Amino acid sequence: MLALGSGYHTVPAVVTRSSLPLWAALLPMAGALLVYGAGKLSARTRALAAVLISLAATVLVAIMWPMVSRGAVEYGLPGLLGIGVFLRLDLFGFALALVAAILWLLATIYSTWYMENSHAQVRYYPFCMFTLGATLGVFMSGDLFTFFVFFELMTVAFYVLAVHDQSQVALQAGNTYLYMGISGGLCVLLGIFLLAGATGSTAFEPQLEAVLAAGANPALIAAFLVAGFGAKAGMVPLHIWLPQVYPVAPSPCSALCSGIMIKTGVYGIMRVLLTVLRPAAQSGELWRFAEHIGLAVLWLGLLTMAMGAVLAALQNNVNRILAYSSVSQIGYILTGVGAAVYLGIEGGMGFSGAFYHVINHAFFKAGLFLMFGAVCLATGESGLDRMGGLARKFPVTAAAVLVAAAAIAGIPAFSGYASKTLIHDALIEAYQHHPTALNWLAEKFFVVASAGTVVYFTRMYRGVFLGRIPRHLEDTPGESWLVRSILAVFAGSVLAVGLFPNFLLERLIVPAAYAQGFAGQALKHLEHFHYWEWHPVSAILTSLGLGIVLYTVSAWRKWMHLDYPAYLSVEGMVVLPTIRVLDMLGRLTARTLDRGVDNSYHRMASSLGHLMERIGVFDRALDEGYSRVGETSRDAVGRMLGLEEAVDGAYQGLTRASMGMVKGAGDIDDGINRLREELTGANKLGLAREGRAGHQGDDARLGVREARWLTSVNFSVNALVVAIMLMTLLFVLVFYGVTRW
Amino acid sequence: MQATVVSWLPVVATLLPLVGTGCIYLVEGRSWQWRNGLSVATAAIAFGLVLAMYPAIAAGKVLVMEFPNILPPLGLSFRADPLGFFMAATMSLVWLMVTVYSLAYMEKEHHKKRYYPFLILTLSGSLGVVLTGDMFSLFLFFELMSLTAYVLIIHEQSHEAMKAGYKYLIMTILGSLALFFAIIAVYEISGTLIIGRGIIGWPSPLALGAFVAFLLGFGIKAGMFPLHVWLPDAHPVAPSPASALLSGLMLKTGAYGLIRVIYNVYGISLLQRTNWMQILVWLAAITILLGSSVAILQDDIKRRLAYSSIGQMGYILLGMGLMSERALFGAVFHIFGHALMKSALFLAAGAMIHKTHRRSIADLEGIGYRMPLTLGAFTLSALAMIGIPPLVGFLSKWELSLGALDAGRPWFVVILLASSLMNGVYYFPIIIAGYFSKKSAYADGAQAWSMADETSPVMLVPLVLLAAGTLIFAVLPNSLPYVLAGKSAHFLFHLGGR
Repeated sequence: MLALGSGYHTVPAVVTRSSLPLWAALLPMAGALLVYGAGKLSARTRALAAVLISLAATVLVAIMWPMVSRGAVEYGLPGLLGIGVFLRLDLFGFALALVAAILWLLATIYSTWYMENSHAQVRYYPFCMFTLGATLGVFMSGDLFTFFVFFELMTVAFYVLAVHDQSQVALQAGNTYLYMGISGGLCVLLGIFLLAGATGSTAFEPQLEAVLAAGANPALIAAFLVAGFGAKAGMVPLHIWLPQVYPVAPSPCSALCSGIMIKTGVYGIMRVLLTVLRPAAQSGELWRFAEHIGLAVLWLGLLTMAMGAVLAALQNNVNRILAYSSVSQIGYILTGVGAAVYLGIEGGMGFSGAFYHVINHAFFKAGLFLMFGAVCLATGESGLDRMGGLARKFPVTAAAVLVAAAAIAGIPAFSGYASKTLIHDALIEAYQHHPTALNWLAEKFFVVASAGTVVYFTRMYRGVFLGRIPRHLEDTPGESWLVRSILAVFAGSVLAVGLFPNFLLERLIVPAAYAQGFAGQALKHLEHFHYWEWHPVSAILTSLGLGIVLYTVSAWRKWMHLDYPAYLSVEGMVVLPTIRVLDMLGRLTARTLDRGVDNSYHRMASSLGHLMERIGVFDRALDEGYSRVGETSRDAVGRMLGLEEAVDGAYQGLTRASMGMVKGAGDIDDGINRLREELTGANKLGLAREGRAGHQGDDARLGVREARWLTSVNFSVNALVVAIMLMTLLFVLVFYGVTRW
Repeated sequence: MQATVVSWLPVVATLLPLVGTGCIYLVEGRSWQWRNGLSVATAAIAFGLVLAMYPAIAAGKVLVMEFPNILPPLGLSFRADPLGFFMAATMSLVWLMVTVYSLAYMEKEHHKKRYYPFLILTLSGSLGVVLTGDMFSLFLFFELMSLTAYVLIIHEQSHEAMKAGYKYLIMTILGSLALFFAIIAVYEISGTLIIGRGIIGWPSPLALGAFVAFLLGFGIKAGMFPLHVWLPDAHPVAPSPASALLSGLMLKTGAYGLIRVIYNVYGISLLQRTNWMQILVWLAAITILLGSSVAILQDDIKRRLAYSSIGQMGYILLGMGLMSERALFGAVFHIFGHALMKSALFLAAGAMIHKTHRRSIADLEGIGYRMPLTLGAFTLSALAMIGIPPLVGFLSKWELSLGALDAGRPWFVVILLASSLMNGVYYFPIIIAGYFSKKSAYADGAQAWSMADETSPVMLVPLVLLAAGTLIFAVLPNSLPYVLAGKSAHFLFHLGGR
């Protein structure tokens, strides 16, 4: 693959094994503790320690240049974190890591001035260092697993910096950031799972064939990864956290976030689309897949670019303008990435443009945040309508802003021009390769959307630096020398890149493009790109002209002062309804599956209880019934007994009577009379006996009642002993029975 | 097949706390110092005894000890394989930490004479569950643990505690009956209860009935939907160290029992032929979503943690139910990870409640100004719970998700990740309000950010150690729990029992 490159740009792929990347990432993380410890001595020591650590990190990254320029630096830690951490640094990652370290160093120096009177510096500096380590780790990762680990660490650590102010607004913005960040992270994780589940590897190497062979859907993987990384990068419509966080976070943090951290999202998208989800073969039917994905990303980029520019023009707060401006610039980068993916192996132009713009944007946007941060801190204002004429108070800042604004608008001789031209050329190339209406439209759209940049920057510059100073800002102190020198560094770097655009292009960007596997005519063209020809300059001039016209018209019609209803925003349209629905679902779950189940158990238990009660009633009724039946039958038995005795008596009387009859065969009349008397006496006797028997029955009944001794009241030891003996007998029987058989 | 070695270690490790309980009971009348010392010593020695099994386990041996003459015809048998050892080590480690923590937490509480013996007695039951070699012995110790835990739950003896305890008791007994039925049915089918490699040969209605009864019996303990209802009532009313044990360890015995049922009693070959596992898998999925979403709505911090436990138990149940080695690995590792995280969270919450006497999350605003280290440990464990790398929760999430994909069930990955987000939604507000809220009365006070109000070191050290464990055991290359979890899963999946 590399042999396709020509001349001195061909990078010999010498892989060096070195632990330097690991130390570069670990040093700031461990340094966070050191900074915390230094804070115990004094606030100055703490700030100094932070500056020294970021300087050391910069040096550690920079000294890897000889190794990286020869090939790549790799370092594996198998078994760490179970799965194993793998660090790999090539030109692309190295450049971003170096930019990150340099910007961090400048921002930390700036912080010593900016944060001087701030609260909670104990927390600020350590977390600043920790985030640096995590960010460096992201750019030095060799596979998606390692990438994700550092990516999440960075997301969580930066939260503490974002809510530094701790005001209610800051906490709300922080929540948006955190939940968007975590959701984005989970989206990325889902993409990684789908990839790793299919191929078993998360390495940064072409895996498209393996994904398809495993039967997974690469478009789905790409969608999840692009959405997840897009949330970090600020891609429309996932950009909503940027304009919330930047106005409340300290300026150096906003600068670092906008300059570097959102680039980790872009870097992730580039690694995934330009390395992982790519066919290993040089050509073939599989490249069609890349075309579709590329086109989608390209248009997402264009949309982000336009939306960002329009929204930036409508803001009043300086930091919000810069936030939307970042969104818009990310759109440029994504457009370049999309073009690179779309053109496949020929996409060197798009890649170079995106890569170059990542670096340029890092410098001028971080610079702009620091510049406006200095102004806002000194004046205590950040609304355009409450500022003005500050160029007199802040001459160096105003000049630096002018340079950076020229760069962001893409004016030739400033750094933005160097990269935007490449992205524009990539779009033209896309049209040349596939002359479709859509690709033609994309190029025109790009030019028009670029005009938006001119509009909002003109408005912002005029609002802050030109005009008359408002009365309440007349006593504003001027700028300090420290700030001046830092801002001068930023402006100088922008100018240097802008005046010598071919220097970085030839030494860094084209070799990186070759290392990424790009080839073909576009790269040959890039090796000797002519920035100062009429063709590239004319496109930019068109944009500038359009922008000036647009600004004049909209300033005249006051379009930029209109208030737009909240329900038109992404928050109003998507986020709030989603939260409401989820909240409802949660409550529904709680009501049905949790409380509902619990209640049904309760109901079941209470109905069981009722059943038991019924059974109890039935049982008592049965018991009573039995005893009543018993009593009745006892009565009956008693009566029967009496009757029997009576009959017995009658028989006896009868016998005696007949005996008397036999013995006294005397006077018949007398005999008859006597017999009649005897019979009457016997009858009386029988009745009396019967009565006595009835009394005896009552007594017997009482006796039976007393004899019911087997109740709990009468429970005695004897019964227990008998029961235990019986049970023992039973156990012995069962035991022997069981063991014998 | 693995070599078995006859060893007294599992027996001694299980019975030592039983003896210790008696000793504690005897000495506590004389002096409280002896009681406290003996409690900690018993837990520590139990931990040491469990660790003493490690060389044999590392050499790939299974420790067994059988007493066939006790309780014939079933006998009592002890056994330590990688999973049993791993569980026992986790349990005794966390138990030691919690016992130390209790010393300070319970200092001003009533009924300490009841608390410590039962604390150690429950340890014996829990260790017995994971160190026994057949389902009958497992059942015996399971009962011992369940019933003694009741005393820990109702420690406060308040109205709510008694009510929650009653609910726990009824459900536990129902679960025991189900288990008893299942064990009898298994004995009827196979004639043995030994934990082996699939002792049930072929599917039958009775086998399915026993399977469902096992799900009921162990599911109640594990807090599986729809049997979870006792859990959110019992956890908040128990003293915090007891909730930590309940949530961190005792729920896991239910999961452990189910692992044994699935991989040792029924065996994967049988369950792969039937689709009985779908019952468990879907119940687990509902459990995850239910626990995580209902936790968001809770205001009582311990109740929120309790619902979180339900959700996390869902992860474990899902992992063991997916029938892929990787998912099982994730589940076993999550048993360990969750034991650390959740006990640290409960201990931290307990320390806050102990100090402020407030348990509503709204009232705990600004707690980070007063107790920065406690909330720091809470934060670390909560981040692990959400699955932020490089903490233990992330590793189990990684393995569980890839396991779900191995099993060809990508939707469960979505459920796992959705639950992660919900974990974030219910943990972050506590942390953010604790550290960053300016509305709190302590925010600008002289005491802010000082250690003056921090909890006593006796409580602080165990909970910080547990929280640090969530970081250390994840980051260390080839850390012991990670390796052991992998070994256990491999052992269960490929070697089965003996």
